Amino acid sequence: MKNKAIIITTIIFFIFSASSLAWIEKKQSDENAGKNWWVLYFAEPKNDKLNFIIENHSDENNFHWEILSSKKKIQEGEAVIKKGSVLQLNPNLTLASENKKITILVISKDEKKEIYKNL
Amino acid sequence: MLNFIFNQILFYISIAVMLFIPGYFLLLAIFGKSKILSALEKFTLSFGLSIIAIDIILILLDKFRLSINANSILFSLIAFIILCYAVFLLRKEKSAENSSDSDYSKKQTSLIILIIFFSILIRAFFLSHTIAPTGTDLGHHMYWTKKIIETGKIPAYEKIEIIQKDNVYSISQPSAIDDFIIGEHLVFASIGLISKNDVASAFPSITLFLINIMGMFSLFILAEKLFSSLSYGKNIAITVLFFVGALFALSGSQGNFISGGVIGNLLGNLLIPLIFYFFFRAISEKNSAFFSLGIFTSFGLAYTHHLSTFIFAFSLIFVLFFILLFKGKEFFLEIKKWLALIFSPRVLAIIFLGVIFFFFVRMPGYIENQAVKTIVGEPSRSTKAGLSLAQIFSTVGESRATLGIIGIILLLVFFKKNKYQSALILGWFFSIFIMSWKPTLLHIDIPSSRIGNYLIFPIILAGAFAINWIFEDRHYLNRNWKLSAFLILILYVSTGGFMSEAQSINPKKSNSNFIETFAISKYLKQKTTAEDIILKDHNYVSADSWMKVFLMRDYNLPFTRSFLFRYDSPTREQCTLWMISQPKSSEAKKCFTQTGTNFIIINPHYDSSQFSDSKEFWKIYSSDLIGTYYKPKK
Repeated sequence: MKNKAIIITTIIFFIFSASSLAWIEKKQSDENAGKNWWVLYFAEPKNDKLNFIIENHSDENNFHWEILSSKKKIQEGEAVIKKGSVLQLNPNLTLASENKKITILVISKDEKKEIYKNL
Repeated sequence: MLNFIFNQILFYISIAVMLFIPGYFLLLAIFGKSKILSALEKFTLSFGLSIIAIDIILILLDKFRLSINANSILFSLIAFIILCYAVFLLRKEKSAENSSDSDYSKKQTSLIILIIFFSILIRAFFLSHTIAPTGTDLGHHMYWTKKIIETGKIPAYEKIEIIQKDNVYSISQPSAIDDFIIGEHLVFASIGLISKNDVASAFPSITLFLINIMGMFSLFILAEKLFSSLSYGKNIAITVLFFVGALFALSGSQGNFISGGVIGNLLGNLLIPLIFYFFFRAISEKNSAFFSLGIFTSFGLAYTHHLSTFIFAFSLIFVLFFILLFKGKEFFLEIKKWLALIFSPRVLAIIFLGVIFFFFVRMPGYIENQAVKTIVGEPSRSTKAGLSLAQIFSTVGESRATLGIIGIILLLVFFKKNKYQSALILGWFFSIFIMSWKPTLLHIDIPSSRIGNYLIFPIILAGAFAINWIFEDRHYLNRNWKLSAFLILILYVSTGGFMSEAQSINPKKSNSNFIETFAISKYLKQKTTAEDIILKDHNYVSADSWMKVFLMRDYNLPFTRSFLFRYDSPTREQCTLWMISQPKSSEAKKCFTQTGTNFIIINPHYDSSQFSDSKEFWKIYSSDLIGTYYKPKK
């Protein structure tokens, strides 16, 4: 009987702690819960297209974006992206010549990120 | 929330079905409803035997070309349970056997429950910082687990590599990997399949947590039996539980191995005490059923972890040596008794089935690949040349090692009282001690620190014996003096133990950096194909070993820039280093061309400048901790 008491309490302790750990992991793995980060990437990384995506997991919702051609600004805009949301922007550009570095610069509050293609 | 609750219920049902029920029915088939095993012993043994039964069932499914999936596993399990139950019904009338004397007083039971509470609490607190799937080893293992889940087959343990031949770099054909053994992955695959949990979640660590807790019980029931002839035997077992549960909760191949995903060692620490338990009971009670279970579990260990199997084999040889030493001429009479056990029908049946399985169903990978040769010989690296005594003490924990050594000395001096018990603990201790201290004496070539971790279990047994021997067996000493000295000693051991445990708890480990690694992995899974060759950095990218679990292209993909010191080896390829550290160099350019590498993942805080001023790379992905570059074909 005492053996059974040991087993039952072990099972209860284990299930309680393991469930708590699973819950903690679920929260840690949630890209948004308690996190503050955002990411910028090309929608089509392997070709010349400049469609880009801002994925927001931060508390900041306002983003300013610029497209630079060899460091010269050629387009800019503002975007409001809620936490947990994704925005794809498809710039319609006619580039005058090749051999240019096209940079997408995104600024949110004090944070700046850039991606580029050397076309 | 409802989804989470449902998921949890399914997970615990899967655990019960996969990790307790098969073993329980196996014990029922062998022992019926006799009282030869206490409830706690049945609980612990069911777990260990279930792991082996699941391994065998899944290997057989694969051998008969049946897909490994939730349905096939459940049907096979039901068949196994029916078979065991049928055997039980056939042998029902022979159930009268002696009862297992392991009931505790109320005070002892309360103490055990308190120790278990703290054992689980300390581990859970530690794991709360590391429960996210980030461990490097766990990532490696979960790749193979996911491979089984996705393909429904036992995988070929192979990987591709970047190789250099005649100054030309290329990607090799898949070649065999010796480090992985199927038993490390089948349990996780079966739980994943039944519970529908993703491997990139808490379930692998929680399963390891359970394996570790059950490993603690396996040492506990072994101690119960080893010291059952002593009046204070139960107190020794409780002390063992306290040491292995609470004092060694984190360091020494326990909590830190759970979060790191060191599956093989944890399974080894569960199965080795169980094997000793079976053999000890078989020999001391002349019971062939226990002997057959000892063979069965040893067989299971061989399919689970090569290092543990190797260490167990050495320990067994040393135990036999000590039995020979202690028994003298009687040893050969003992052998006669053992032979009677071995030549019993059930032991012969298990050996016969084991041989059939080994030769005609599946051999452990390390035997098939002749990997054993790689661990025999003179130490090939300084890390395999043995630990100093100070390092061994540090591995075990100073206070605990001191107590353990006292126990070892006591067992050596007073061995005559309990020859088998002393021989088992001494053989177990000295085999591992010599393997980790002077491996050249045994001609083995294995990282010494990995072996050193195995010292903890025999040290715990010896230490628990010592503390109880000193304070329980000395009736002529003053009671108050004994109590004071006992408390001081416990305080010394506990303080030393808990201080080293506290160092293992690092709240800083609790971060979410892995989220960004998982995000880029999902992105690359979508945007790249098998033609693309990806290289990532292991030095500064968090949880990078998990990237392959998302891509599922090859065990070695993405390729990795490993720890920088590893490139000091003259035989190591340098491409993975050059392509990240100096991508504009002529060597790196050659590597890019010849290997076809076109995606690079780095931590921008450490490795971005060498790419940003090069026209050959596009930066295609940018987050706080991940920068990804693409190298288009010209």
